[in-house]
Formats: sequence, C-alpha cells, structure tokens
Amino acid sequence: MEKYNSNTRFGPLRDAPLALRGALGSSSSNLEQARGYTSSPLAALRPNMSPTGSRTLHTSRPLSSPVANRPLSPHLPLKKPQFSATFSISHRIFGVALGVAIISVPLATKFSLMFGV
Amino acid sequence: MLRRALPALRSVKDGATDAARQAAKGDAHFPSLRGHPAARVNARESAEGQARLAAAEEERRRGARPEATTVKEFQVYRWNPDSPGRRPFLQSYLVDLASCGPMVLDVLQKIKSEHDPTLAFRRSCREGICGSCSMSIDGVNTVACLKPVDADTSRPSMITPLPHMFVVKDLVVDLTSFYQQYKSVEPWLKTKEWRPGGARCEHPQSPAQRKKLDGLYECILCACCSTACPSYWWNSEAFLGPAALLHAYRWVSDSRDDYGEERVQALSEGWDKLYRCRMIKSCTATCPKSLDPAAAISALKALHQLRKA
Repeated sequence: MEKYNSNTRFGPLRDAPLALRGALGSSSSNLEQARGYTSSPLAALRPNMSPTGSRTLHTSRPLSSPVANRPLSPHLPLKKPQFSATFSISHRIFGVALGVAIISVPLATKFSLMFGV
Repeated sequence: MLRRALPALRSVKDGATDAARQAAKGDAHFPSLRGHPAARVNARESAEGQARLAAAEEERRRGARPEATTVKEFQVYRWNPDSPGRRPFLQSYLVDLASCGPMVLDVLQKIKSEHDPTLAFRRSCREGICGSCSMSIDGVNTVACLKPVDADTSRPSMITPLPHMFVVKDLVVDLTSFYQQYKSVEPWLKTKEWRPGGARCEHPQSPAQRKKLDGLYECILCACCSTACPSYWWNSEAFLGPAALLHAYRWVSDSRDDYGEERVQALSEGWDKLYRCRMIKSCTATCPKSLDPAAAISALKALHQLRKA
C-alpha cells in the first residue's frame, strides 16, 4: 500500500512487470523524463527531452527512447490491391526481368562455350 | 512562369481519379459534392447501403426471406499495452446495422458503448474535418466518419489501425514522427520584405493566386496518404511522406510566401526527403478528401529539376 502513497505519479509502475517497464523506457532516467513530462509542460523545453522536436504529440507516453514492445500495425498483406500500386510494382518487376534478359545475351555470348549456346 | 508549366492540380483532382470516373454517372444526385469525387462515392454507397438494409429488414419482417439479416461481423484489431505478453489479434463483434448509424465510426462507437468499453480509437468531429479517426477499413485507409458501412452482411469487415505504424493501443497509432515531418517543412507564412503596417497588415492575394491553393489547403493531416505509401513504410525516417510534401507544395505555391525557392532547396537536400517518392500513387487513391498528393510531389520534383537546369 505504501507504494501508492509515494508522491511520484509513476510510483506504482516501479513495481510493474518488467515488460511494462520496458514500455516506459528501461533506464531510470527515462522514468524521470516521463514524470517530468506529465508533471509540467515546461519539461518539454528541456534539451535532453528528444533530439528531433520540442514536444511529443498525440502520445500517451513520452517517446524519448524507442519503445521496444510496441507492435507494428499490419501493412502489406492487408492492403487492398489498387490499380496504381499494382502497375507500379509490376512496372518494376518487368523492368528487372527485362534487364536480366538483356544482360544475359552478351553474357551468354561470352560464356557460350561453357553454356553450349 | 514555371508554375504555369506545371500540371493544374484542380483538373487532376476533378477528372483523373477512379472515383471521379465512377461518380460521373451519379453527377445529378449530389450536386453539392461537385469536385469531391470521394465524398460523392461515399454518399452514393451510404444511400445504397441504407436502402439495402431497409429491404433486408422488410423481407425478414414479412417472412419472405427469414435468413435476411442486418447483423454484420466486424473484425477489429486489438492490442493492449497493459498486457504486452499477448500478441495483437482480431476480435469479432456482431453489430446490428439496423439500429446503428450509417458510418464505420458509428459502428465503432456502438461497439464501444454496448459491446466492449475497452476498445480504443481516436475520434473527434465525426464529419471528416479533424482527421482523428483515420484507420484502415477493409484494406483502404480512410477516415472512419466518412466511410459508409459495407451493407453486405455476408462477409465481415476488417478494421485495423493505419498500416506500418507503431500501435499505442487498439486502433490508436503513434503519429509523433508524422507530425515532426509536417513540422520540418515549416508550414507557415514566411516573408522577406518588411511591409508597411508591420505584422498586422494584410497580405493581398488575387483570386487567380488563391485558386492555386485549391486542392492543397484542404488537407486535414489524417495521415491516410502517408501510411498508404509503401515508400513511406520502408523509409519512414528519411522520406517525408505525401502529406508533408503536399503541405510543402501548398506553401511553395502560395503567392504570399517569399521563400519558395528555399523551401524546394531544403526539400531536395539529401535525396531521401523528396525523391523517395516512386509515383506509386497510393496516396491519391486513398485520400478521403480526394486530394492529389502525388501530383504535388511531382510538381515539387519538376520545380527542383527546372531550377537546377
């Protein structure tokens, strides 16, 4: 019970399972950053907050360190086939095939003895 | 002079997309949606779906076709950060469409209020102006508030978060890097000379100059286009993505902005930011506001190449 009475907002999370603590950043400095961010908006001005910008947007947790256990949402298998994307990838596939076909002619001529062409 | 040589975005937006060709038949029905082919398609689908649902309900009530049902299965992507040991999974919900609103967002709100209050998704305006409820519905990225429910109850609908983004919870994805990329194009008016009257004076613009911004300023930053782009999937740190580049072009083509050349220069520094675009055009195919980010990116490329020559 005393852990809930401690004055830090993230006090309970110190005893959280390891994987959950990984979501907040594994080191204690990240935990401090998390607390600083939630306690005052001025913490966003601290230079060590994030290398790219001033403030985390639309996130529930600060992203000063890459979060390990966040899943990547599904992408390629779910995408509905559309004309534009299908033409684009088939253009590249046929281009590679054509390149291979063209380069194989002089190669086959050069190594004609080996291949018996 | 260069700008005159570039493709007019307005005509592309009105004429060239698949949706426009489909909607050309239904021109008479939704005159107020002229110039918004995606909205027109959605309106027609919504009307047809509602009619279909009403017919099914009527048939079941009369007993003509007792197997006619208005209950549809929705498979929703679930992942909870508080139980990280569990893999992401698709959870099925059976929703009665007869007692539900016409849009996918209504279905999600019904699920959240009646079936499962733990479902997490972003929503705000329910009319396609805030861009919060963007998600992948049946494999196409749209804003859920503008997407009518597919009234075919025989096959399930699949609702997943925006593709290839880090999931915060359920349908909520982490858009931090997306917003940072938007910020990196400096989406604000920058002027060189000091004008009489100071900062409070107006920046006059002719109607023709204003017309160039049509098809660009409507972007609501829903991130549908960027997350539909395979190029952005594989290089999301380096490539800026269609949404940020559309906004970059919006400021380049603004007559009041004096930093057009510098903006193009900054975008073309480092090949990755702009030229990772391979004209796959998934962005244009998916945009819920029927804008054309691919044309904006090609216009930016043309500006850069013409300036180099």
